[in-house]
This record gives sequence, C-alpha cells and structure tokens, in this order.
Amino acid sequence: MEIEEKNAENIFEEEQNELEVSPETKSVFEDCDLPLGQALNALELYQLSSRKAIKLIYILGPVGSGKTTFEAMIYETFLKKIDEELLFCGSETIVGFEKRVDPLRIKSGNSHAEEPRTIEKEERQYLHLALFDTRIKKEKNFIFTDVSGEIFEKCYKNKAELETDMDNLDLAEHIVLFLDGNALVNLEQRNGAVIKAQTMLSTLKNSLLFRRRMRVEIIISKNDVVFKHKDETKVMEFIENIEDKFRKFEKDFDLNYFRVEALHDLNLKDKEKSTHLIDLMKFWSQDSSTVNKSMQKPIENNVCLKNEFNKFGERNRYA
Amino acid sequence: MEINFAKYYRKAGIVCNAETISKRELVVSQLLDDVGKEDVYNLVKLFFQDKCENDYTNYFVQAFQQEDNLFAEDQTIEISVLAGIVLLELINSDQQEIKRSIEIFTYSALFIGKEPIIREICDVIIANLSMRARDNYENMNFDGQPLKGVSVEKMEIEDDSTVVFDVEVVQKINSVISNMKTLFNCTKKLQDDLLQKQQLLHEETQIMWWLLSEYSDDEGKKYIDIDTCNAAILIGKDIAALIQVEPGPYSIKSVMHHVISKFADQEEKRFVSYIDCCKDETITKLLNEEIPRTPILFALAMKKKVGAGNWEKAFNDKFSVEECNKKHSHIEIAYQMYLECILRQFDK
Repeated sequence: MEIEEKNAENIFEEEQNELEVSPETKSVFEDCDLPLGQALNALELYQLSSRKAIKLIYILGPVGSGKTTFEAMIYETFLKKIDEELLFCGSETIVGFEKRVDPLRIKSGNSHAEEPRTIEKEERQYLHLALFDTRIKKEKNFIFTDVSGEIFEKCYKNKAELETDMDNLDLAEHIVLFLDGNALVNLEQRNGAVIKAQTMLSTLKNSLLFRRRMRVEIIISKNDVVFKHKDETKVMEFIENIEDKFRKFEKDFDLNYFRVEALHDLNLKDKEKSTHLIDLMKFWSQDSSTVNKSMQKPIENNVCLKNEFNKFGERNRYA
Repeated sequence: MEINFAKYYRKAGIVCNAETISKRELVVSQLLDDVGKEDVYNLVKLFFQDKCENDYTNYFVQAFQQEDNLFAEDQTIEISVLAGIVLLELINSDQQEIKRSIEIFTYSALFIGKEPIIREICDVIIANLSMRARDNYENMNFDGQPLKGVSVEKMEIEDDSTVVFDVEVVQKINSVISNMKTLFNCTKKLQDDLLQKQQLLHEETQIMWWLLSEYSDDEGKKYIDIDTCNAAILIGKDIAALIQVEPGPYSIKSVMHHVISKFADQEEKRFVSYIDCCKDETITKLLNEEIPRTPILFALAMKKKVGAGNWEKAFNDKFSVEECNKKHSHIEIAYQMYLECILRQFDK
C-alpha cells in the first residue's frame, strides 16, 4: 500500500512537471504555423491541394437555397452517426464547420434553424473534410466551396463574371446546382428557379471553364417542404419531370439528380425520394477517372510505316 | 521551356496562381542544367511519390525553397507534378542515355503497379520509347547520297618552287585544312550512319534466326519445353542480348508474343512464381554480384542471395509495394525483363 501511494505521488509529480511550459517552448509555440481551423482561403487551399489529392465539390445556388445548411449538415452527420463505409478522419476547417452548424443548434438560442447569409466577399470559402472509404481503403479529401448566393446571381448569366469569380470551377470534380424546394412548390417562383439553373449551365458551357462531361448534380433542397405538397398534383408533376427541363444539357454534362432534406437527414420525411447526405457522400467518393492500365501505348497512326519489321509489330499487335 | 505548367497543375488538382507557377518554372529550368542518371532514377521515384535514395528529396525541395521559402517537403502532390515536368523536359532533350533511363524506370514503376498523379506524362514517356524504337528502323534507307560540303577542286595547290611562303599561301593552306576537316566529318558521319544500319540489319537477322529456332541456350531446349515462368524470363533476357542499337525494335513485343503464344499454359501467374523458378546459375551469369535497381533483376538478385521464398520482404521494402502477389502475363514479364536487360547492357 505504501509503495503504491508513493508511486501515485510520483506519477502526479511527473504530470505536473510536464505541464510546465518554459519560456523557450512558449515562444516556439507562438511561432508555430498551425492551422486555425477556419475555412480555407485561396492560399491555404493551394497548400492543402499540393499535399493531398483533393476532390473539389463546387456548390452553387441562389440565395437561401440551402447551400450552407447542406454543408453544415454533412459535417453534423458525421458527428451524430458512424457509417461503416465512410469514416470521418479529420478536417482542417473544423472551426469553419462549427461556425456554420452553430446557428442550426438549439443552444444557439435561435427560434428556428436558419443559417445567416454567406458574406459575398468572403475569402475563406473552402471547407475541408477528410473521409476514409473502407470499401476501397483510401482516404478522400473533400473540399466544399461555400460561395454566396449573391455571387451566383452575378455569375449565372455573365460569362466574364463567372470566369473571374469562380476561376477554380474547372477544377471541380463535381458541381452541385441547388434548386430551392421552397421555390419549386411555389407556382410563381418555380419556373424562375429552373431557368436560373438552366442559364447557369449554358453560361458555363460557353465559358473557358467548361470541360466536356463535367459532372453536375442537380439537387432539390428542402424536400421535406416539397413532400408536404405531395397531394398537389400540379406541383408534384412539375417536380417529378424536372429532369426533362435539363435534357438538352445531357450531351455536354454528366447530370445526376438528387433530393435532400438537410435539416431532417436523420429522420427523412420523404423516405422514398430523398437521399441521405451520407449516401451522397458515398456517391462523390467514387473515383471518377478510369485509368488506362495498358502498358503499351500504340504510336499515333499518322505515320505511314515503311519498314517491314516495324509493320510486323503493327500487324501482330496482341490484345 | 515549352511545357505548360498550369495545365499539369490543374490536371493534378492543385489550385495555385500565376506567381507560384512562375517561381516553379524558374527552378525547373535551373534543375535541367545538371541532371545525371542517378538524378533520373530519383526523379522517377518522386514522380511516383516513392521514397528517394541519397537524400534526393531534400535536394529537390531545397532547390524550390530558394525561390519560395514556403515550399515544403510535405507538398507531395506538387513535388510529384514538378518531378514529372522535369522528366518531360528531359525526354525532349538529345541525351540518349537519360532518355533511356527515364523510359525504362517509368515503365518499371508502372509494371510494379505504381500509379502516377498525372497519367498523361507517363503516356508521353512510354510513347517516346516506342517512337525511338520505330524510328531506328524507319529511318533506314540505302539511297546513295553524294558526300556534301566539300569541293575537291578547292583543295588543289599548285606545285611551284617559285612561290613565296606568304600570307596568301598560308590562307590557302588553312583553307585546305578546313576543307579536309569538313571532309573528315562528313566521312565520319557517313561511316557512323553505315555502321548503325549494319548493326540494325545484323540485329534484325539475329532476331529472325532466334525466332526461327525458339531455343534457350541456357537450358539447352526449346522455350516450349521449359517451365513457362522460367521461359518468360529467359525470352526477355535472350532477346535483349541480341539488341545492337537501343532501345531495340519497335516490334519486339510482337516477336516475343509469337513465341509465347505457343505455350500450353497462358494463365497469368504471380510475380513470385516467375522469380522462384529461375535458376541461380542463370542469375549468376547475368548479374554476378551486383544488385540492380529495376524490379525483376533486383528480385532475381535477392532470390539468389537469400533463396526462393525469402526475397519477398526485401523486394517489398525496396519498391514499397505488395508486388509479390500481383499477377502478370508471360508477355508482361518477358518485356519487362527485356527492358531491364537493355538498360543494363547499354549503361555499361
């Protein structure tokens, strides 16, 4: 007993010694360039992208369509639940996420869950989420942009503004275009909402940022609001046929459609049509490129071979 | 430099500005001035995000830190892209030895399953290997071409004992000497050209006879009568020994396939099977005591040193992959063996 007590005292002493910070150490920590956890600016995004292979998810949509809520709730999903296939393994912008999630929480004191408007000239607009995909045993580093609705309003019909304000759009692995569910159930606003999205795609196609078969996800947000109108035939018909409105873009873009209820993700109202945020993340986690593993690349055929020995190679090329 | 840095940065998904790119361009142009074969080996490793030898990573990073003190060793994606860009520049240069090393080390990295950040750079390097092989044979022509650049009449000096050795005479003599030099260079070029054509023809004949016999001198049997794994290794080795002008013929894979397609067993085998079946005597004749850097020769050297089944750990440590479980076709093994022997042969 005496020996145990003595050891216990020694352990506590050791702990206390370790807690003391010498002036030299303190100055080292002050000089340390550790990330603050805020959303990233352009320079920090460059530094991250030069260290890790990133998947840039560019989220676009008009003011109030639910973009920031969507990003916040993706983060919240990983706080609330552990998924077997996609594990949270870090973020360099935890504070950035927390700032966006906080207004949605009860403790914020807000009367209802609502995000404040994203600042138009916000430089810190990139949120990082590292996930481990257990299916392929690889880490994926997602970067979500948090672009304000005002920037979208400026750019969706102006090619020059688009190329200036969204200059990394061509690097995006996925472009997410939000259709506000609230607007879609409103007879006066729904056509305008769809036209904006269509115009955005047209402007993008005509800009220098366009790459053939860019992946675009058209997301109907606030699907819980849409679900409330399930008995209104005209409303539901419009929404069910939303894909027809984007058919003409299918030859230039790789389009996919989703409906989300970001705020109610853990307890979906429309279980049939809404997609869980975690499933959307799994969709994005899939590798887009199909690497050609052939180790013999044929030479360009614009050279007409004269030598018979060379021709032997071409004529007897095996599979 | 003609390479578009921004294009490759964007392909790699690195978000950066024009100022950063111009700093990188400056350093890359400096690095190109002094690149040896050792550097090429390490550049390929950097491109495939592998560990370098002799502290090359530090050297590479420090070169960029001269212009940008924020550049750090953990910027592995960017380092890989920059290494790839340096390799691309080198592949467009005139240095045959450097090109050969880049091509074969890159091919070897792909063989063991490494994935590059930018596949396009790999494709350019591999295509360059094929094009050089094709052009050696394609550029052979035997049209008689007259010797150019020298007029024989200009070389005559009159034999006149009354001529005074003055400035004019000296000028004439210098002119003759210059013409003789030109003549010598033309003759040498012609001779080199003829020699290369002879070598190519000899090489082609040797390959054709080899193709006709399909016989391994090491085993004293036809390849079809040898264990298929062993035969694949021997085919690569034997055919490489016939090559006179690197990188060898464009059709060499088709030539090998012509022999291999007759094997009864065409099933892909694990890499370890190919290595373990190779005899120590064959390995000794090929390698003596050296430890090569390319995958198959390294594995063979280790197998001879520590025995079948025990070399895998050393291989995995050296190449940072679990290659031993990967399956390959006979032609893949034969061609890789061929390339590695070519590199060894022509680097001596």
